[in-house]
Amino acid sequence: MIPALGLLAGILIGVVLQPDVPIWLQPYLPIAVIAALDAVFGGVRAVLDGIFDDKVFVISFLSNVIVAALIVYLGDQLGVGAQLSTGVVVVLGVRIFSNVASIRRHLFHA
Amino acid sequence: MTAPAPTPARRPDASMTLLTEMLERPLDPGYAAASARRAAAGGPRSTPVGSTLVAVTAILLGLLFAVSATTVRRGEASAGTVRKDLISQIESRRAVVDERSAAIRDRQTEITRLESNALGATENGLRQELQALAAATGNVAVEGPGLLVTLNDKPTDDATPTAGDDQGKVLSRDLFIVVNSLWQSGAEAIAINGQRLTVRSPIRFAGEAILVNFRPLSPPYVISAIGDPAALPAAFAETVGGAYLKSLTDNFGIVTSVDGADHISLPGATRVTVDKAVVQGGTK
Repeated sequence: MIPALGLLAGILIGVVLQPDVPIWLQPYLPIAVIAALDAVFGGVRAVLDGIFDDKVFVISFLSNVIVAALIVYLGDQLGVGAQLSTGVVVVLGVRIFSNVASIRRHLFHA
Repeated sequence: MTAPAPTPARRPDASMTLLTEMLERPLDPGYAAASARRAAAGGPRSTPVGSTLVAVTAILLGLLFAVSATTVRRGEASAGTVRKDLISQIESRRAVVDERSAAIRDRQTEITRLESNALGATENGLRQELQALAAATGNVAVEGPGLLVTLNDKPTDDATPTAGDDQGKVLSRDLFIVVNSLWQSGAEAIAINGQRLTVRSPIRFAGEAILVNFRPLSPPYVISAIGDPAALPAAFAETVGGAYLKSLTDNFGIVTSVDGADHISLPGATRVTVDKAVVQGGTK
């Protein structure tokens, strides 16, 4: 309940304030969103599995976002930013799908 | 020598452990570990600090999603406005160029008139020489019989041609092969889409457009050449250009036509004056 409210509050703050993202930060946004989604679905699944843990959720979110940003940065410096980003999206995408499938099994028993 | 220790049977998909790991255990193993630790220690399921952390993280998440969405949307919008701005700039500059070209032509007509006035009726020979020179250099508008060579891109079915599909497009090379052949077969004055060719006229290719006299042209390209109506068509058909036009049509589907015309009028060029070049031995 609290996390859902927090999520809503965050979205509202973002929409109302419309903060300007500095241009150097913009390439990291899409990959950060994917990493955050992975952490969110992991957390939801953990809740449904009954093994949710605050600390693990927070740390997994932060580390996901930071590592994803680091990979994009490294890729940009090496000149293979697009390829590395694709790799990150594939890995996280597969995880998101598996976690969503597991959530679906929990919720709908199907 | 000892027999090698028996190795445990390899899994058939041992070389794909990364994929297996990713597909079979998508959940962070940390959750299970933490849960097991908690069960062993008998601690509470959640602490106030932990709940606050989760709430803060959730706010961060929402912020991240919202900011990303607005940033992407704003980027698209600004790209559109930049594009529109550039297009309007191009159009206004082009209008300025057209305006100034017209002004130059007006001035040139005036100069020609003043020149003939100044020379007066007495200097008839001089005036004729001047007119002949002006016509030859492309300085004045001329008219006469000649040939119209038209080249057009291959007609496409879809309204939006796909990028890279330039097999059926007229290239600058096509134009200068035709123009060179026309000069070779005795053309006296040539213009492409109203751009008079002079000794200082480049035919260039820039991006997608053909530039003549540094002005971008759009198809169809009409090359008007003034010359002897009896000799020019036959002579042109025998040059490289005649055969080249046919091969363009046969191989690439480019639409070409060569028509004789009784009366063609060509505009004068707007840019024939020289600044640094002076006649050898003469004074400027």
